[in-house]
Amino acid sequence: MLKLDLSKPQRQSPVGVAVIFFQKLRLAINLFISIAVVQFGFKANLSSFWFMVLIALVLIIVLVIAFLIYRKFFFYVEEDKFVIEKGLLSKEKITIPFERIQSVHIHQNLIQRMLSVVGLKIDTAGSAMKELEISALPNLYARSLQEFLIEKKKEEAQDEETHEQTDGLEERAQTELFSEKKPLVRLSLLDVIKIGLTENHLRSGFVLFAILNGYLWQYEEYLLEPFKPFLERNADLFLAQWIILLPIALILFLLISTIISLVQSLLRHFGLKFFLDQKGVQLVAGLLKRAEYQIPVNKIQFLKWSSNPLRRMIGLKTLVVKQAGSNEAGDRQSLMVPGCKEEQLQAVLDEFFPERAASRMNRFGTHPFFKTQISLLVGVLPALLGLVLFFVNPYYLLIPALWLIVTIPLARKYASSVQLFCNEEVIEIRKGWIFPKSEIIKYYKIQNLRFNQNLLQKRRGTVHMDFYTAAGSLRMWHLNEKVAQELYNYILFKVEKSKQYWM
Amino acid sequence: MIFENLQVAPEQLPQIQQVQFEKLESDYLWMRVTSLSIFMLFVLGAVVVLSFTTDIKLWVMASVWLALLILGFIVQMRGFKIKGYALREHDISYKSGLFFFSMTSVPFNRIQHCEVTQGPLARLFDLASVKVYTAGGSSSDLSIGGLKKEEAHRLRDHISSISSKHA
Repeated sequence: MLKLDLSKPQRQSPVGVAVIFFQKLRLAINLFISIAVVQFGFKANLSSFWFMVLIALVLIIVLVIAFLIYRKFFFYVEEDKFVIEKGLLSKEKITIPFERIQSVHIHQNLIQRMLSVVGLKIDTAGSAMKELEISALPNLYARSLQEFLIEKKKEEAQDEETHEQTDGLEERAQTELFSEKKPLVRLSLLDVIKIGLTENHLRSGFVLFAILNGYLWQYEEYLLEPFKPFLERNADLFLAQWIILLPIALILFLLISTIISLVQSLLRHFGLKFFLDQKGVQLVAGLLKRAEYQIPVNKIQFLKWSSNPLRRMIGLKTLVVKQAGSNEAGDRQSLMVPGCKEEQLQAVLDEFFPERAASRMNRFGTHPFFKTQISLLVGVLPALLGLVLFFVNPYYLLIPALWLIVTIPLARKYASSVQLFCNEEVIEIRKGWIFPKSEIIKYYKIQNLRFNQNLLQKRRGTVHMDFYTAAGSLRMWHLNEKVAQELYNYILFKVEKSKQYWM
Repeated sequence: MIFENLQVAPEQLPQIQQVQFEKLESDYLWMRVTSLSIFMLFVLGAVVVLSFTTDIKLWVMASVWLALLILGFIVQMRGFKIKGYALREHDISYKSGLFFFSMTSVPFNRIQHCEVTQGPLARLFDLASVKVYTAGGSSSDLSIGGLKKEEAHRLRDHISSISSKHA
């Protein structure tokens, strides 16, 4: 590791100009395209002289801006704070007290990789804080800085209180240790392709649809223009042949969705390596942008693992490690390991939740009322709405009938799949059978508890229980009231008695 | 018996269900009723405007409005009896909800911070609320409305002093 001199303001690596240039260029292109399309439509002559001049001008302006941003960007240490100074026109000074630093990430996108530098990002405790990112640092320098910041943070924490004294030492060794260790999960190209193919295609298809919808509406006028005469001429034909077109559209939709999932999987999970030891977990993955996550063991709030029918066939599961502060940011901040085999998942559970196997887990299902309620909600209610189809064509009544036959067994089976398991130290909630999902948490990681009971539930003696954690909430549906009360009292007792720090 | 191999038998644990919850100030009920009335006055205005611009009969809308108003009052009156908070040695709990009952408990060693807030209407009634924040996200925060202002400050100071010992 390097010895860092941070008392004087430091600049990032000079190739930072290039990194910033490409960052800003992307912004400029996005802006430019929308202006250009709206202004000239697609008829514009792209090879005209003035157009070239315009492009050259934009490039030069972006380059100058990138250079100035680089020149005005400094970072240094002031007493117990890390300071970033930046700003083109008005100078901006961002100070981060070491104690406020949550984590320090290192990442690398395509440009950074070509220039062999890395970006460094600092997460702080305040969620509304501005983006704190240094775009270009030599790899070794970035790692030294990361280690330096984490160590400083630990020192600050120890000044205030003396508990967890060994932690600073453990943390320091972490970065070096992991690189020598053998990963628990390592995905080959074939694995990544398998994961891509077994993704929930419907979801990625719909996500694409939503994105396209958002992007395309701006240019709708220009995109549809050429097809208008064709669409008008063949309007009747389309209506008559929708029976043929629908399956084709469906196949096309599935095909495109599959390709997207595959590309996404390659981009995100290529060369994934997942490390595990008693100090925490670490993950490195990504094709163009290599992301690196590290979660120390005491920051882990809960584990979540899920699967789907295709994944189950090839025996793979997706593991998500939830860390403190990731409740509002969704799954982006949490660490995700797709393609986990059963024994690998077991190894993670054994490491962080040894209590799970230490004594028998008691099982509690949902009240039978849940089956009725969910069948009514997803089966009967839409079917009743579907009765309107009668006025279109009496034969269409088959649709709501079919809906009832299909959804009610699915809904009933879902209701019986919702279960809570617990012993003296941990609680585990399982939900779903087509897309099974499990979550496990230790009692002392729970922040607060809520007991919900509406009038219908009161008559039947059932309760929805919410377990709030620093990484989002867990919910159990229609738990027996007696069990819920006992659990409520027990969890409060465990949390209040606990001396362990939850973060 | 639900938990096996416990150090403590479940029936020996302190039971939140047997705790006597503190009632809120009765002025709080009047505050809620006032705020409901103000809201319903706006609705009444909209009803009158609608009766001039559409074909719907005024008396139909007026009777629906009256029914909603009465229902609202009943819900407030009945619901008020359910609202309450309980302070124990190690945690604070709040319960409310006539149709959708819920009870939240926050252990003192999980409190991030705690504050007193007072809205414009509450100021008229000299009431304040105590808000307790945890790391469990904004939906899980506990808020006790309808306390006398000085009582709210006392409660806040009490909670802060205990929770700061844990931090």
